[in-house]
Amino acid sequence: MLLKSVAYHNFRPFIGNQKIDLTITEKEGKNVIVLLGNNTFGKSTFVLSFIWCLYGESRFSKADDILNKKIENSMPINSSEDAFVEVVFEDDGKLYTMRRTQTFIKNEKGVLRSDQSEAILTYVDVNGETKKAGSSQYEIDNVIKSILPLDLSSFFFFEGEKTNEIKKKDLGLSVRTLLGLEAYDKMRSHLFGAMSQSTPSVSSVMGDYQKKQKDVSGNAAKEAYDKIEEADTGITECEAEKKDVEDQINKYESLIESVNEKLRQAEPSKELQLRRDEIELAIRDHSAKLSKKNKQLLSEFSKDSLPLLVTPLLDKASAKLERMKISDKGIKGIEVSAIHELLARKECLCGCDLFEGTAQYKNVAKYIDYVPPRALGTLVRDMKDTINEKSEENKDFADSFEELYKEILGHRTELHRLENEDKECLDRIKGIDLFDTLNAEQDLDRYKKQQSDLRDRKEVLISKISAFEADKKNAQKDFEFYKSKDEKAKEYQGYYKYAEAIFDWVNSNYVAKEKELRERLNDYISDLFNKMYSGRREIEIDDKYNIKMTVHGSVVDDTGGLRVIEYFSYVGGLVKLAYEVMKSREADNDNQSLGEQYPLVLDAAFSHADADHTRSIARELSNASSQLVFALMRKDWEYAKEGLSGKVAKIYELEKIDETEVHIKEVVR
Amino acid sequence: MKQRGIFMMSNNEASNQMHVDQKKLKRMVVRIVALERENTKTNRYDERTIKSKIQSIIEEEAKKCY
Repeated sequence: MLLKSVAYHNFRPFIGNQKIDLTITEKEGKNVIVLLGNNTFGKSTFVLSFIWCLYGESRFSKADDILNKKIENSMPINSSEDAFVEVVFEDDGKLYTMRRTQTFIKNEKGVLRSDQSEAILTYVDVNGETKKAGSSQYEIDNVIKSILPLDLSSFFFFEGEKTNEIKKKDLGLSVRTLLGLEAYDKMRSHLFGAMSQSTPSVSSVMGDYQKKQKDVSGNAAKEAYDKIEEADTGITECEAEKKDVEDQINKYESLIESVNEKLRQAEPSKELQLRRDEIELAIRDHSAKLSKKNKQLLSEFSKDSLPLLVTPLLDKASAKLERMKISDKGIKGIEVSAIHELLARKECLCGCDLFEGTAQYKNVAKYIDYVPPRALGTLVRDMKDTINEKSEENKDFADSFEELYKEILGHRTELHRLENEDKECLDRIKGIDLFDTLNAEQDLDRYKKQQSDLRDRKEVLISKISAFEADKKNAQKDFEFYKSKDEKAKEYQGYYKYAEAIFDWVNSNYVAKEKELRERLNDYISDLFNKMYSGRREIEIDDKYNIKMTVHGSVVDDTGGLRVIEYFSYVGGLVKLAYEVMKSREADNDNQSLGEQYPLVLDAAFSHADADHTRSIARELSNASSQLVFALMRKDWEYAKEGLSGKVAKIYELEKIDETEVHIKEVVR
Repeated sequence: MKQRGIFMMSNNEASNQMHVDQKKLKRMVVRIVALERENTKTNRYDERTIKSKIQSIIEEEAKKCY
């Protein structure tokens, strides 16, 4: 999936018709699109508009705020207006257009009403014809989720400022879909039926070949087959009820865990408060140090900032003087008046007589031409010595200045981390304070009782399924014995055998393929993390494709900037693997491997990152992904662009006219 | 997944003399995977139709002479 464009019509602040071309120039290696805008300019709307359009989910703080406010206010009563988002994208060689529209009606009382939004998804087939992909909203949802699973949408359309809950989900199905393994799942289901059963379902391909053998057989075989069908119906019904019971058991499991967690936290609220107190002390300490260092930096700069500015000039001047090769025959510190004084005294400093006309006299007198004010060479040598002296001093000053600045950055980073941790503690305490322990314990008893009843029911259903399966196997024995052995029956039996061989092939290859892909994904994620993060922590994925962070093998929690790097490592590894799988499919003409290209659309990706991490995140993500769309503030862009040299295809800027109107403009470079 | 049962075993036993051509099998796999992948992303065929298409692929390839 690669994004081609996104267009808006009266959607939130994007009034009228506005469009962003997201086409990247792959051959030139320009795979990054940038959208610049300050806070409240519509960056989050841009990212979340993809979620709304593709999945119909409004993740805006006010979910119903879809229609532009200016348009809403100007609507006369008994009139209607549409708002839509249209995303054009390419996937698996097909061009798709998804448009989601919501119609708003202002009634006679001036109240705005709207129905559910409606989506239309079309694609262009191999003949160039435009066709609908799914006729109902349910079918459209299924197509979109098969292209980009909803559970992974938070990774691909990333909101940096929001708490991401993605780690709590089982990502297995979503990741398998992304890597193209979903097709194998469906194939198994169509060939055999439910994988929980030991015999093929009568509605499966294998079941149908069995039925066709029955149709060409005698009454005894047909009676046996009827019993197979009857048992199969019983199994299907019991399996459906079992699934429903299991869902309810899981629901109660979540409720019980939720209450338990709150009970566990009832006591720790004190611990949390103590931790907040420690954080407060640490914040004060770092703030004081930061303030002191800032003052020191300002003082140093105002006291002696000249060396920082003149050092490069001194280096240039020194080099120039060296090139001039001006000879110096003078005596440092001696001027012409001192020479005249010696000649007048007729005695040198060494004690020799200096009588006019003698060789000694002439030897001393010649220095009149070599020392100041006449001798340029001596002045130059003085200058060179001064430059060398100053350069040494300036270097020391610049080093200490840089060291001071690093300390300031360190304090700032630590303060940011502490403030985030404090906020998290506070949120957790707020949750605990609203909690009624007595009621919780009563709820817990009730949930456990209901869960226990459901488990009993599940056991009954499992027994029933076993009984039906035994009946089915016996009926199948009879069927095998009585069924026709004529040519037609043998033909169907031959097809059955092929269906069975395909099913066996998928089973063995699916497991091996998934294992191989999971291991590669783990390597890619770990590699990216190590490139973006310098420290002792490591990350890996488990069987459910969930990510965990460890230090020396022990699982540790993550916060702030570290969590951002963790997320980006995960999604970067995922898109890299999906892309490589796709490339290997193309190279080997091997339909057994799937995979695709995927875009990353990121809002406030760097809000928790310092300058170094901003550069490395930008660089590594642009290397790992096929298409990177950044919505960010100018201040972050200054650092991010250093990691994106030569990769930016287009830059757009959000121009805020007022609170209800934002224009999207391409920045001409 | 559980072990598949007597029916499938007896089917195998009964059709032991029937040869599964690996070349045909490979072609069937490739075509069915492509069909399934295509359908997950277009929703073009319903469940009944896709099963029917899988059967068509199996029967068509099984009858081919290479």
